[in-house]
Amino acid sequence: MPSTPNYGIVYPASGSQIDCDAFADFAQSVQSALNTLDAIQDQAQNMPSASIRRNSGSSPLTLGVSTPVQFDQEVWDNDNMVDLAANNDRMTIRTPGVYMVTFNGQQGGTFTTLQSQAASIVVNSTLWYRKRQGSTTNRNFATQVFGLVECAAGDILQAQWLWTGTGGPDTLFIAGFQARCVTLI
Amino acid sequence: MQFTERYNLPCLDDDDYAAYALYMQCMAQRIDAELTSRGDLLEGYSHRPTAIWKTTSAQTGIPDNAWWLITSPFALYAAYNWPGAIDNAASLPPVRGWWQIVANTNLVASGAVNFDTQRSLRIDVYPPIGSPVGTPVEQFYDETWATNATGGDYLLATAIVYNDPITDWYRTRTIDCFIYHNNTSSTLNSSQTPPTTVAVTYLGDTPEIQAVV
Repeated sequence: MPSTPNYGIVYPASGSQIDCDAFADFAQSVQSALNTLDAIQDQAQNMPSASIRRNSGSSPLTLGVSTPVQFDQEVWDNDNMVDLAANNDRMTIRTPGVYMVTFNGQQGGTFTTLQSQAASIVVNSTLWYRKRQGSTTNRNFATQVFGLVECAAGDILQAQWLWTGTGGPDTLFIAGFQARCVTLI
Repeated sequence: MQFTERYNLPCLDDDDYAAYALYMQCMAQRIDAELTSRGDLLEGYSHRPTAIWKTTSAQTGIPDNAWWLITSPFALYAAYNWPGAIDNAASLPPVRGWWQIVANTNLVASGAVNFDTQRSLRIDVYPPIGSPVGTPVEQFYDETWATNATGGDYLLATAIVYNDPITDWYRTRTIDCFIYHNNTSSTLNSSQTPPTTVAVTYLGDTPEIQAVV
């Protein structure tokens, strides 16, 4: 029985006898094509994405060391990227793709002098993006960083925070970390 | 055979009332064409043109008080679903719609740091024949002040720009990175930790958004 080129909808050959089965096959074939389109639509509307937060308490920081931020709240995760009970400082990529990754934080502990704050996006322990700002008022402030990251399945995304100055211990008391796949590969 | 107005679906006439096979063939082909059109739009949504470029070596000797084009070689790090050829210079292809551009660089003084002096990153998007001396169609900045912290000063800029290939004669737009500083006590270098990075991804155009929503 002939069929259409892309979605394989079967139809009777010209001149062939048409019976109820031919209509049934046709209807089933159209339904199968619609199911295929549904799957493509579902994929487009549910691109892998996750969002985690530091919602209570504070994440410890080490002076002068870029420190992975510890998160305590899963806001959203449609691809099993987050397991805060096992690892509260990361997302693990399940679906290969290029991801838009964003991280923002607000420093909130104690210090004597605050020289700089830096927010970083780290992939498999390699620095990809960092934004550093100095403190002209000697007060804690917020910083954010973002960027496009090429990821394979199993890659580990981390948000890190680095502060320089004197005194401490300073901490990160608000933080958000998000990743959303912008293109599947 | 008659056809509906919007989707061109076949309906039997009195004259071909018995032509079931032809009717089903026409119907199958119309459904296939319509599903293919919609499927392609949805596939385009989940497979967007995206590219990342990174410098392969540090830029050294950036002088003060002048906008300095980063001329250290960029290399294409990754590209997916890119329409046509792509090379080692950051660019936008001739595809109509909104694009997001992200750029990140790290500036390290080669010698003494003048505390609290300016550090700026500027991204210029040029029309096809403009780079680097023409008038950019888009220009965006990040700026910070020298901290004298170990590791350098990191700048990060992003913008969403509209690309219109008709006005560009369907040629590629160029993306250039410029540095500015007023650290008079020493020149600056761009670091490879991380490399200077430019990344772009297609956000879409109005017809695509309507189809998906």
